[in-house]
Amino acid sequence: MPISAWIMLAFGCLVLYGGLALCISIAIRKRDK
Amino acid sequence: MTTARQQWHSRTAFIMAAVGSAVGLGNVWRFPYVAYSSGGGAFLIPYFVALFTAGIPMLILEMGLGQRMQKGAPLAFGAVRRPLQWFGWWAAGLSAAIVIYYSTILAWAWVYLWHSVGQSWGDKPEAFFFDTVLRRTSGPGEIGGLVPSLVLGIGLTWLTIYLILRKGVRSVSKVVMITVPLPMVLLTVLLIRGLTLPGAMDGIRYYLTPDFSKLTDLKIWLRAYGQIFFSLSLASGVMIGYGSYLGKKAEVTNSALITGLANCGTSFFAGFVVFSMLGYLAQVQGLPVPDVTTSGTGLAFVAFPTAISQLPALNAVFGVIFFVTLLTLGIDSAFALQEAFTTGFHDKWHVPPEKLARYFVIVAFPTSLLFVTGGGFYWFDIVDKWICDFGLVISGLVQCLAVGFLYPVRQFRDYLNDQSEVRLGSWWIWMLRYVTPGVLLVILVGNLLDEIDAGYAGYPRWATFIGGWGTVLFWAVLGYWLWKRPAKVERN
Repeated sequence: MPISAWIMLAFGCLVLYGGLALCISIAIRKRDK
Repeated sequence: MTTARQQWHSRTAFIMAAVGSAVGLGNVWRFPYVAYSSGGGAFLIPYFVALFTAGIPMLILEMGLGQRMQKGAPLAFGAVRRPLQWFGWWAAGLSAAIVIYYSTILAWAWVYLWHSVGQSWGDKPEAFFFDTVLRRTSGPGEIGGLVPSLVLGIGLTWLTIYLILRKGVRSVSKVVMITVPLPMVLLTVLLIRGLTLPGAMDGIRYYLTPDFSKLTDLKIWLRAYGQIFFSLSLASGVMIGYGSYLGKKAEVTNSALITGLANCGTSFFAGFVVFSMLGYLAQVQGLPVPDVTTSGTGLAFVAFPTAISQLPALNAVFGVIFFVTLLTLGIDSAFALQEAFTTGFHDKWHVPPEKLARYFVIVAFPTSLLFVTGGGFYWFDIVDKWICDFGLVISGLVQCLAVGFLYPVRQFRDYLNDQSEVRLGSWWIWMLRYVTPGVLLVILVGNLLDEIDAGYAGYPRWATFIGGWGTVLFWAVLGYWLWKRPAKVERN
């Protein structure tokens, strides 16, 4: 796979799964307060 | 007999149900193809822009409106402006129409689940799908007879929907704890199998390699907005209905973000499942990947069965896994759509959930039989096209303008911010008032011009008039009638 494809893979994972993890962690943190 | 409004068991149950509604067959059979044909990895850029400027703002609007009003779409819009109750019934009616034809796909999946044990499609999966399973006639004018196996499949689908909805959101809260994670697990199993096959990386290369030159094409951006819009179950009243079962103090904004990201994350993930299998199929057949790449029914009922037959071992197991995945992906979208419609009857006439589920299925099951006749595939195609390209786009447009301009939207934002984990700024109002309606208007005009110019897929005009415009107008008339019926006033 070309390097550009790997970069898009990382970009997609970062936005989608990173964003999801961030939102879930906010929800857990606020619930615990 | 209680008519009190039910609530979700927990916030997790609500998010699971919302994700289950959004994540459906389109995540598997549409997104990967759209991404591949729209610039590969580069498509992620307009896709994310569409997600954050239209998808998530509309999700927040719908969930928030339902939660604030504690009503489904008809009465929630009626509370914005009285005549908008008519619009609310129409939007919810579109969801009823969708579940009626969507049940057909689940009927096909039931039939394929049965056939996957022995891979009955043999070496001619396309002919098997159209001639043996669908018994497709020559056109929409030739209805043909009912197909018994599909009648059984659609009956099974309606029975499942009835059983899930008969206790309202109480039972939905439990069911989604299985039907939402299960397809994710099964997709992971399919991905692991796919990635260990020869040619898989070739397929994924086609899926991800970016072609940034496509980003200068306006159509690619509109396609990204269209994909986000249809993928998130927007404009059909589903998220308003689900939001209405939240408590008055419930969090909305972060839940909408989680729903949107989980939905798109599933689409992105499904792309690897699809393209690893297509890469393998291309290698086995000695063809380039683009020659085996397809979407929609062609992917699910032709390309995938072909790939499953070509697997070196455990073909039946992977066949069953794939069709169970489709069924579990589809079923929670189906009952969410039904719930979006029936919740209006609970709000206005206090009909209990069991009766609503029963009456709806009694009417919807015979209606859906049209789609399991020999000519049913054509009618399915026409109704789907009109509801998605015109009905839902108009509904989304009206919804944004109604809340953006006829409702105290700043107050609404402050209300959401008071109880939310993530604060909304003015950008949200801008998106609702200008960006999303603007994009939807451009999509609508483009769809209309295409239809006027070339018709749709060579169908005769009378068929698209009856099945397409007829369906959209039928729900407008029925919506008007429902709006004008007096509501039942509770004695207490």
